Formats: sequence, structure tokens, C-alpha cells
Amino acid sequence: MLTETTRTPVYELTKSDKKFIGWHIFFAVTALTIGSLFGPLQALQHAGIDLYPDLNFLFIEFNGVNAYYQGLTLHGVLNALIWTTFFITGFSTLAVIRGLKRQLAIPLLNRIGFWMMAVGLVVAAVPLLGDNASVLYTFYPPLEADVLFYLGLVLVVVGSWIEGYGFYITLYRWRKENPTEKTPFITLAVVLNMVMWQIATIGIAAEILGLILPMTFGWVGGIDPQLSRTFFWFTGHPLVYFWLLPAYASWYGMLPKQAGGKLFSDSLARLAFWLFLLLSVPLGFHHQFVDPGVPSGWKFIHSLLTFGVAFPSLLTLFTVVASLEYAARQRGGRGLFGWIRALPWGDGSVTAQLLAGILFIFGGIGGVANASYNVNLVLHNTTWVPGHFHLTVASAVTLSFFGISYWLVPHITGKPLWRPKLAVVSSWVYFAGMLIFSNAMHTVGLLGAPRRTPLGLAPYVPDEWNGHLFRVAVGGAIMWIGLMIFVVIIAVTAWQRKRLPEGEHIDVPVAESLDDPNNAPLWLDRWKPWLIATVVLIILAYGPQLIDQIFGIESTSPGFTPQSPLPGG
Amino acid sequence: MTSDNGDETQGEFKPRGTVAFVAAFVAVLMLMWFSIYIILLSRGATI
Amino acid sequence: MSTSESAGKTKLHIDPTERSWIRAAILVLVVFAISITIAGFMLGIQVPTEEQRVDPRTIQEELPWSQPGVREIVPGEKYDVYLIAKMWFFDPNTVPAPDSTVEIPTGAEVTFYVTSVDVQHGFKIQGTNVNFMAVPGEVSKLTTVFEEPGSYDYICTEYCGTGHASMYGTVNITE
Repeated sequence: MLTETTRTPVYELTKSDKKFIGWHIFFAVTALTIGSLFGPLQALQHAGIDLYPDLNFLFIEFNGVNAYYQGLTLHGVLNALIWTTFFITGFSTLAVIRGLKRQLAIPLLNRIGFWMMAVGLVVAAVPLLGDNASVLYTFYPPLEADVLFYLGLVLVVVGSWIEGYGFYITLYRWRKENPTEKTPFITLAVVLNMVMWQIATIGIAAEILGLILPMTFGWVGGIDPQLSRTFFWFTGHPLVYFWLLPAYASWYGMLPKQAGGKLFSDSLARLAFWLFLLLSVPLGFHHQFVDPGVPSGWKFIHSLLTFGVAFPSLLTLFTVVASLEYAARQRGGRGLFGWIRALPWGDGSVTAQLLAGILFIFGGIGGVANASYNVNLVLHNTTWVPGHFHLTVASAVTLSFFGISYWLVPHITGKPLWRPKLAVVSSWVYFAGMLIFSNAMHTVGLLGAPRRTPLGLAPYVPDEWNGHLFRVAVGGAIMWIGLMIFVVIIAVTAWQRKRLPEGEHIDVPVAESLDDPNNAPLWLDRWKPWLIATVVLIILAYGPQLIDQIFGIESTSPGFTPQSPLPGG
Repeated sequence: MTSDNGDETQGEFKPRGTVAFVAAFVAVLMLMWFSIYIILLSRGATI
Repeated sequence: MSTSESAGKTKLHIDPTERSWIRAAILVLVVFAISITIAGFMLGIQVPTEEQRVDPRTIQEELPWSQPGVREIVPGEKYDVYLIAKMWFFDPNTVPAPDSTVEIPTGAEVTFYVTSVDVQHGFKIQGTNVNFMAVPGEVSKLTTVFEEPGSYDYICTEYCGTGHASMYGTVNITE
């Protein structure tokens, strides 16, 4: 448990590695803090309360209706892309070192990767803050942003790749040194996630390097918007698994320990992760169900493949709940549902992750609806969609990362968590706000409210939406309060003078398994067959359409800035 | 806090509560999914 | 699933309760797959498919896109509507146009053809299943039947720049 300290850590990270991980968390939490400022502003805007003019002093250039979209771009980029990527690479570094009980093979490589990401963030921030890249985090061409925005994103992605190479080399060396041992689960989980990410980001690399930059530099007269969408969503959906899988790694490999139990099935946990590698990428057309340039047959196939990737999540639901039930029974929990009360709800780290899991149940249900081919006609580009992904990336992922931070920051700083009880409160506040917010967003989306729109300004809003939009505002504001409590706790914990008593440590919680990991079949520790199957499936599911669209490319769309209906304006 | 007596196996631990939990989950999933599906059907054909 | 790729010497051990759950989970997904198949391939609720590639720079020079609006195909039964999405309005923004002699009656089959001449837009007719992207270089197409008389808003559902929030139009359906 969080408050438990050990005298002899299982494996002690070097000071330098702890500091390195700490930099990841610092950048992540800073991005989250700035990006989240805009959340409640957007939510209040929907209810007709426009606070943007009052916050003009905060921004280099922040005016009129552009302010909403500039803020929305910052919100999406900083929260969904930066907070996640920096936190995940930091957490993965910890999971690799602690899981293998071994230092990184080439620490310099990982440091180069990280600082490349940091430089990328600063480079992208310049046009974002100057309102020269208000194209939202999907940056659909031919909307065009300042070139620095794209270059910054490229640096962030390439930096994350380089950190990944560092993980691979480390794992490779470890396997040479320990030929008979199975890769520890937490390490396997985060490395698998990184491999999946590197396969998936080929799409966005092709989009930016192959289509957008040539247009932005003026080498070609225009772009093919349909092809750019296909490239984007090759990356876009696996991106959400890149966010989610580290949270799963914690739920499987750490949370059972924190709750006082064991992982119910090590083998099935590994199987779920291999299935995510296999199935995360070849299903991107489920984001393009209503695109004009993709044949409906391929959309249907990708819909079924998305049902396929729902399977390892359903497996996760059972295994994680069973692990928690086991823990609760060990703690004296009774009854069919009564055991849930016996979980350590007084622990801020556990509570955050349990609440993340509860919200994710609804996020998962909504996701299955999104993925259901024609059912998507009811939901596409309505507020249902941001309602949905706030339950996934902003709940399952973000709230779990809060929970992880509540032990990770004490672990790497050697300082006790500031106000552990307030940590419990922070998650409950965020949870309550999220319930109100997401419920209202889903409901008003079913009534037809479009996403990405300042509904306080839209002329077509019927009266029946207003009650829900008010709940959007209330929920959004409450979420922000919960989030700010988290930020303050982490900041004070990191910067306080107080240290843990001499000789005490907060250890990384690593769960043991109820089944013996050595009984698991060998194919759950073999990379080659899984990688081959993954590539083959991607070629089958994407190949024909990619060839069709790439060879049928028509770069006939000139770029437009969001501010002008004239090309290049 | 954990009783690390090593001989705990899945075989002895019956996850009854988990079964109840996932059963409730399936009920909610079906209910919510089909409520959207019915909206879809009520809005008619598109070809 | 992919467990058939087993290359290992030992079998995967699965707790019997979890084995039952795996069966149930697959069954649930199969039920959803069957349901969308019925809706799509028996009830005709389909998503857009490849229609036609166009050049967004010159498309407005020729019919039908030089004169967007309603075409009466079979009076009282079949209508085609051509709409151009632009930053930041639909052309036309009223269907049928106020000066038009054509009326679209309840129960008629109305097919919407939409394209964009600048950036990506969205197109959603409230209260119907017509909901798709308007992508420059492509024509999007879906059909619907309006069962009640009245006016239906069509709105832009994809961010398209500063004026996005005010981009919408209305279809008027008579008795």
C-alpha cells in the first residue's frame, strides 16, 4: 500500500534514473495543467458563459471566436498528446528498469529521445500560443498550421521512438543475460506498447512527411485530404491504445499488489497484451465510417476487427476485477458485491485507479457503439464522441496516471506524499465531475449537438439542449477542481523539504501472480510469431485500400488557414 | 497484509463476485448498445 | 482467437470461470456483429461508400455543381439535393430555395450529394441518419425519407475554421 514503506527495496533505481523519470513527469504534469485550463472554459462556453475575453492577458494573441478553437487546440494537444506521451515514456522507463532489475543499456540514447521530445514541445508551442496553429489536435488538411507545429510534433514522435529503441536494446541485453527467465509482466507490457506505437505512427509520419510538409513548404500545389485522413487514422486509433495500455499495465501488474492481493492470471494478462499488439492497428477505418472516399466493405471489415480488439479489453475486465476480488477477500470482504467495500479506498493511489476503471466501463460501452458501423451514423461528430473519450483518455488513462503518480513521485523523490487524504478526495471530485460531464455530453450528442463547436454561439441550438449543456459546464468545472487538487498535491510533494525517514523507501508495487508464470506457454514470451502475425494482418486489412488511395492520389486541395476562406490566406 | 502462504491457487479461489460483476456489466452493455441501435432503426434506411 | 498460433510446449491454463466469461464475451460481440449486419444489409441503413472523385478547384464550373440545389427526379417520390460546403456556409442554405417551385413532400426519397470546395466539413441532418464528412475532392452521398413535415436543420459537424459554429442550413418538407 501507498503508506507502507519498506526498509530494503527490491531494486533501487539510480539517482540519475529517478531524476530522468522525474523530468518526464514534470513536463507531463505541466502540460496537463496548462491544457486543462481550457477544459472548463469550453464547457462554460457551451452553457453561454464566455470567459475567454477575461483571460486575454494570459495569451500572446487570443481574440474573439478564434479563442475557443485556439484553446481547444491547446487542450487537445497538451492533454491528449503531450501529457500522455511524456507520462507514458517516463512510466515505461520505470517499468523497464524495475521489471528487469537492470539499468538502461544505453542511458544516453533515452536521454537524447527525451530531450528531443521536450524541444519538440517547445517548437510546437510557439505557433500554438500565437494562434498560428489553431487546427485542433487532428490537424485535418487542407487546414494548414504554421510549419513549426508539424515539426514540433515530428520531434515529439521521433523522440518517443528513440526512447523506445533504448527499451528494446535494454530488453534484448537482459534476455541474453537471462536466457531462461520470462520477461517480467510490467516490462513486457510497456515494451509491447512501445512496439505497437512505433508500428502505428508510420501512418502519421507518412501524413506529415509525405503530404503536409511538401504542401506547407510549397513543393506541391495541394494535398489529397482523403488520403491524409486515411494516414491519420492509421495512427489515430492505436494512439488511444498507446495511452490505455500503460494504465492496463498498472491495473494488471501493480494495482493487485496495492490492493493487497495478486494478479488473477499472469498468462491471460500477457495474452491480452499480445492481442493488443496484433489488433490495435488494422481497424482505423472505424474512424472513417462516414468518409466518402473509402469503400463501405472495408469499413465493415474494420468494424468487425474493432469488435476483435474489444475482446482483450473484455478479458482485462474479468482478470482485473477477479484480482481485486481476491484482494478484497483477503482483506475480509464478504458478499456478492459487498467485497468491493473491503478494497483499500483510503489509499489515494488505489482509489484513483478504481474510479478510473469504473468510468472506463462506460467508456468501453460507448466505444463499442462507436465502432458499430452504421450505429456510428447516430453518433458521428456529435458531443457523444468527446463525451466518450473523456471516459477513456481523460478517465481510464488520466485518473490512473494520477493514481500512479501518487506512489511514483514519492518513489523517485524520496519524499512522502503530501496530504494523502486529499489525494483520495481529488479522485472523487474528478470522478463526480466526469460523471456529470460525460453523461450530459453523451445525451446531448444523441440529440444531435455537434462536437468541436462553441455551442454558446451556434444559431441552431434548440431549447432541449440547454439543460444538458448546463450540466456539461457544471461537470467540466468540477473536474477541473479535482484535477487542480492533484496538481497541487504532486507539486507540493515534489518541492517540499520534508523527506522520508532515513532508510525508508516507497517501493514500486509489483504484483505477484496467482498462477505460476513459469507454467505459461512459451508462445507468450516469443516476439517473432506475434510480430509476423501483426504485420500480415495490417497488410491484409489495410494493404488494398492503401495501394488504391496512394496510387489514386489527387493533390488538388490547396491549404487554408482557419481564419480565411481564401486559399493560403 | 497479504497472506503469502504460497498455496493459494485460482482453483481454491472462486471469483463469484467477479461473475456477478461481469454479468451486471453485460446487462448494462446490452441495454445501452441496443438503445442506440433502436434510435438508428427509427431513423430509417440511407440507401 | 490467435491462440491457434500456439508454438509452445505447454498449454495455456485458463480458470474455468474465466473460460466461461471468454465464451460469453465472444457471444456478446457476435450478437452486435449480427445486429449491424441486419441493419446494414437487410434494412438498408448503410454508411457512405466511394462515390466520385472531383477537383475542388474547378467543380463549380460544371453541372450539377454550378447550380447546387434540389432536382425533382420523380415528382412526389424521388429528389436529389446537391450541396456545396464552403467556409463557412452551405450553398444553398435553404432547401428547396425560397424562390423554387419544387417542394419536397413527406415520404419522398431524398438523396443528398455533398462536397467541399475548401477544407473538410461535416454534414448532419438533425433527426435523420444522414451524417457524413464533406471532404474536398470527394462526393458524399446518403439517402433519407422525411416522415414528418417541417423544417430540418443540417449542420456542419467538423471544425472548418473561425466561422464553423454558424454554418448550417434548413430542409423544408411539406405535407
